[in-house]
Amino acid sequence: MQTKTPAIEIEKLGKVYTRGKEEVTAIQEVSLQIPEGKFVSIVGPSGCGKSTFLHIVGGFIPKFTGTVRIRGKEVDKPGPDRGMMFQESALFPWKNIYDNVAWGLEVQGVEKAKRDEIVEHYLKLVNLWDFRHHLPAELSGGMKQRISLARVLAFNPDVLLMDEPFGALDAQTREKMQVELQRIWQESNKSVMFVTHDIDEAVFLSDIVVVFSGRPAVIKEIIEVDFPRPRSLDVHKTQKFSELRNHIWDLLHQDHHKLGEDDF
Amino acid sequence: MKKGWNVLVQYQSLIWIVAAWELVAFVHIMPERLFPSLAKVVAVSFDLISSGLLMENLPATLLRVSAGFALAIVVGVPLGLLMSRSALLNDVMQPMFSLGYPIPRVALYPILVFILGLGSASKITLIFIECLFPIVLNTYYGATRVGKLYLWAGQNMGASRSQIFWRVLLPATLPSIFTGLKMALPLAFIIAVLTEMIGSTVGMGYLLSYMSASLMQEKVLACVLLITLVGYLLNLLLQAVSRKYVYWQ
Amino acid sequence: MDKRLHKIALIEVVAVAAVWQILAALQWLPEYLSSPLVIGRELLAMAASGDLFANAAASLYRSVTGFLLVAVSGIVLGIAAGYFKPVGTFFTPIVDVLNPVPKIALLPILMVWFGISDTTRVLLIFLTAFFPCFIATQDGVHGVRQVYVWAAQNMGAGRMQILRKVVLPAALPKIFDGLRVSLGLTFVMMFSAEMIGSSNGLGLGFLILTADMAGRTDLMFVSIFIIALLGFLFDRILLAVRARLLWWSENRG
Repeated sequence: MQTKTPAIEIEKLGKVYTRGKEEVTAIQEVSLQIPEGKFVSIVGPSGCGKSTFLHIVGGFIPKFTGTVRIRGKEVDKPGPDRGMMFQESALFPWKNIYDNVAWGLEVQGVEKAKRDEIVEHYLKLVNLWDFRHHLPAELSGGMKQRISLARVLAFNPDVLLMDEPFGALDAQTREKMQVELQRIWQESNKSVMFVTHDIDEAVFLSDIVVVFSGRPAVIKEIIEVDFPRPRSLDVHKTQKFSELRNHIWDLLHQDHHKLGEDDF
Repeated sequence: MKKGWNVLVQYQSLIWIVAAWELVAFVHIMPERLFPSLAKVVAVSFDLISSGLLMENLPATLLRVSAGFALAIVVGVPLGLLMSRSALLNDVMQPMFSLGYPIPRVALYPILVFILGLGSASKITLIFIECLFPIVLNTYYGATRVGKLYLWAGQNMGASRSQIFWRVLLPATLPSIFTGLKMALPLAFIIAVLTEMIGSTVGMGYLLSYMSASLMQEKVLACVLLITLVGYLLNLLLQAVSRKYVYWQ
Repeated sequence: MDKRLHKIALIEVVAVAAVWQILAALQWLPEYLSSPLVIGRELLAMAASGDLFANAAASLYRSVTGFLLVAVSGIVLGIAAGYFKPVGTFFTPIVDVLNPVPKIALLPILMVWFGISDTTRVLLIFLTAFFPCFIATQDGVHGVRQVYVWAAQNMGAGRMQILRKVVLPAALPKIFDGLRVSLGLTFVMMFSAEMIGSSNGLGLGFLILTADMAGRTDLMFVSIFIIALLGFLFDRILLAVRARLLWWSENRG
């Protein structure tokens, strides 16, 4: 990759769970580097630990082996340098949309004028400025995730971590969100680590796709995706897209004969 | 016309009961002073209000209820929250609340009277103890069930531990806290009335005993009616407060 | 987890008793707070003389009678009200009006109508404990997921079969929640009725009253202890029955 400091550098990350007397290795010594400004997806079979991996990078899971560095600085606790978008909406139900997006800024002591400016910018960026006085309960799933995105961009983290953010949405909304995400990402230019089980989504959105194996998770292959940006949904129809997609599909299904007892 | 009929059908059980009651009272199957007509009871209720008897006794009851209830909140909510944060504290206090739940705390009243006398102190103490249980337990369960996503999101945005406690944990637990309050308030009221029925000199329960000594049951039932109304209004008040502070559900 | 709670509770009770005893022995406590040793001695004396059994049995007789009446009527009517809409609509106004009434306030008039007797006390227990059981049962039946009923209909079951084999088991957790609350109320009302309607009868509430008048706080504590014990024991029994009947459920409690 490049010789500049990577946005995210993960060195020999491992995670072992103890269930009673048994030890289960969820992740086995994964090393990965994510360059500045790149969109990197992680795909893998269900339950392979890719979500755990993301949460460890986010600092939400203690007790792991190896190191995580963000722009050269080692981290092991949650913090505003890594903005996390969760799979389920974590918008605070007791605050309206505006206050939800402003929350991170408030808590870090940003003065009101600057806060208002930032919140307005990002709410308009996700096209939900008109809903700023609504409560999260009044919004649809897609809208909530757009607000979550605005919230996570607002406090300007160094990198973005996304845990299957569109997993709970229906297929059509998901496609729309993918296009939206690409547009917004291009404007913000953040480094992104994006976990998904949807291969099409990964190929459409990413510069690099990292394929995880089944549990215990290791990196099977790192694939570069170099379609020019901005990409429209038509890119799905190209020959190259299918080839990439099928290749990744094959990689994921190599392990299928090894379905274990606890895969269901 | 059809709408009126539907309402009648819906409330028919009440109508039957009231009609049957009034019939029994009218026909004097039992002496009038033992089995008063409901209309008479309502009339006497107004008397109780206008004669000032209600206002002489209501404040005392309300004071005891408020004091005991407020104390239970001030002690119970922080305790429940702390128990959810500290495994050690939880280990010490949880057995008391979970296993002590089925023990009738009213049984303590005579001892409390022995120690604190027949006045408000023993009553407020019993109300406090009784209300503590639903408040602590509901607060505890609410706090432990706060989706960890909310806590993580807070941490992710750089909030300090104190900020997470006050600005995430507390609001997220508020619905459960109010559930505990809604369970505790009726208990507070019932205990106040109950304890006032035993050797008290003021209060709604005392009023009931006083009316009962008159041997005129319409007065007794009127008092029951007023007591019910007060309890009902208190709960309505709490519901309104709850809707104001838990506006997002 | 439950066993652990029990262990800690036991340790705490023993610790409190020990501190209490020490403070009493050192005479740092007022006379009326008695001491575990004295209370224990009285307890054994009462057990030996049969007084304890007589009083406890009398109280239990009232409680169990009241509770059984509540359980049978509450569950039967609750199921009917939850399953058959007209029945539910019929009962709703009654419940809405009677539930908010603090039943203890009805004790005076019950005593006038039925005298200072067990009838009065059982009636009071019934009136108080009926509602939680009825309401919880009704809610439990209402809350049975529609898909279960549809699946049963799909397989050709008739209305009563669905009630017995699908709705009833599915509503059981909520029904037991209601029963648990009713049981607690039963003991509270039994005790309150005995305490208020003073008389020379048998019962743990009366025992406290007579002990109070004689200034015998040690006997008062014995009575409190027995009531607490009974309340706790019967709750455990109910929970055991629940666990047995709900062996299939994930939330056996």
